[in-house]
Amino acid sequence: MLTLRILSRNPSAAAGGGILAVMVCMALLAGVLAPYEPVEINLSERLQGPGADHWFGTDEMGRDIFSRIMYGARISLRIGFFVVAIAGGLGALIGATAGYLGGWVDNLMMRVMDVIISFPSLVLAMALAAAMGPSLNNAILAVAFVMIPKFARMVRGEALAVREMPFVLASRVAGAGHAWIILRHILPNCLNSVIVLATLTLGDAILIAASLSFIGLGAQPPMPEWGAMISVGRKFLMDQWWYATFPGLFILFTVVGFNILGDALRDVLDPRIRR
Amino acid sequence: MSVVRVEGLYKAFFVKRGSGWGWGKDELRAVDGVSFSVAQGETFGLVGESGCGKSTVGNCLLRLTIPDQGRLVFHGQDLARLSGRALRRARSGMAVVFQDPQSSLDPRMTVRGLVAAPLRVGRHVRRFGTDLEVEQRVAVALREVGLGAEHMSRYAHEFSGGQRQRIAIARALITNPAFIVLDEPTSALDVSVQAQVLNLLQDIQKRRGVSYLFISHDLTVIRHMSRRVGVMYLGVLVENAMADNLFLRPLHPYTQALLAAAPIPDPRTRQNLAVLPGDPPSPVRVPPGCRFHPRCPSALPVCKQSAPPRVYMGPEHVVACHLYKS
Repeated sequence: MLTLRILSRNPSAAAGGGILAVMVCMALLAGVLAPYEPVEINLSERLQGPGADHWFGTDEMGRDIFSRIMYGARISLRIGFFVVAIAGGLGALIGATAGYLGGWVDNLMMRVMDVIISFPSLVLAMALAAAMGPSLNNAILAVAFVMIPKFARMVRGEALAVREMPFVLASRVAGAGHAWIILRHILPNCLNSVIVLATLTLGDAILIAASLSFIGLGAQPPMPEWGAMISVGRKFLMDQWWYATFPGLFILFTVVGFNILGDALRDVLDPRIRR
Repeated sequence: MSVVRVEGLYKAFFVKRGSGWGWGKDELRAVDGVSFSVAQGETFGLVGESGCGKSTVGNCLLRLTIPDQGRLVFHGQDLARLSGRALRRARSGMAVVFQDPQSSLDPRMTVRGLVAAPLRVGRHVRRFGTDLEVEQRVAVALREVGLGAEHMSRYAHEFSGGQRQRIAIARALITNPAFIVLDEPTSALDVSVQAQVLNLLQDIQKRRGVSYLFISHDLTVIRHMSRRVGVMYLGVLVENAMADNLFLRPLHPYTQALLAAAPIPDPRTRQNLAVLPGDPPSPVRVPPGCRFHPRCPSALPVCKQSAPPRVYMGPEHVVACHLYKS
């Protein structure tokens, strides 16, 4: 609760949180607020510019871009949430295990993480998504996979410090097994950093997932995914600028929002740089 | 009847040599042939300067450190040879209280979780009853250390240092251990709180008949707490005697110097504190013969050549010094 109060006094946290609050409201209330159905085709109004009827214009099928962006927020936030949940969960577990056990387990796990991290994340995600076949769920899995090492490395570092703490030794004396110590001591004490990294990673995840959709490996039409909308809108960029621009702006806002909030969270939650 | 018997405990660590580019590693003999035993219901005090290996002895007994040689007999089992499940079961009769109550309590757990943790750990140790029973046992343990059941849902950082140490003691008590290692349990506390915690520990011992290994560098605390005392210097036990004997008639020159260097808390006495020359040598380069000879005021030529044998000066008074013949 103290954390929340400090956060609300931090201007960049408030800005980031504000942007994200708008995004979340859009996603949740898309069904109520959106003026049109996201897949409603109206060929008589195709490629209209921004105006009173269609705030962000229409696409080549006459679908309202504003409505599609609102529904698209649902998809983007869902992608971000699942990617971070999968990557954060597995990464934290791997990192905590490697850091706590040390030795060859640590070496093996971290070398595997090094292999994953040695590929550019977008390229690896593309390859994985292509191998699994183009679909939104596969894109989520692919992005989550490339994000695992970030969490694993960070949590491992923290686990190395936590495992020497006397409270871990006390539990060992009491007869605690490795699993118990990892789940009850190591992971809870790494939680703050995981939350910070998860917030920062959400933006990246949404960006990479949008990139996958852009090249046709993620969300499939007619899904109103922002990256996929840009992909189609690209063909009309010369004459109908609004088609690709608005989804792009929303990707930008979301990513920036998560990054600002993540930075502020790090300032607040990390006692080493707390002022 | 001894609860714990330590025989010829030896533990070396390997440290990187120097600060340069050396590849070699030096052997740091933290504990070199320490033997003692702790009887049921008594407190064995282990005293020495920092770095003399007294905490390593405690850690070996708890098997937080694996000893290189020697036997650690607890309830007839040699802990040094046990591993896995058998070790966990044997160790469940032991507990520990560390120096710093702040870092020995997980900041993410409530008092209830902290104190109940030893009852819940792992599938290897017998589980203790239902949640309700666990809750009751936690309440009983908290009452025993002077805390109330209303503290159960709070976190460790909400308590003062002394209260935190009480929580750590409650955690140590909850499994009804026969033996508790107290590793400088009051060094991090205010003097006023120290006395309370020490008296609490003594009350608990009277009530439960539990044995303590009390590790401290504070002579007055050791004297107040211990029935028997072992004095350590550079990894060896130089003297081991009943507390009264040791403080009234110290035999080993190091013990004598240690006692002489302790200030008497009385402003009227003008004290001439005898200070030993020099610092303790690095445990990496231990002097040959008796380890204490470079600083010993009464060193003999033989002290440079051979390590002194353990000499029995009366019942339960062992001293490792060439000055004495049994």
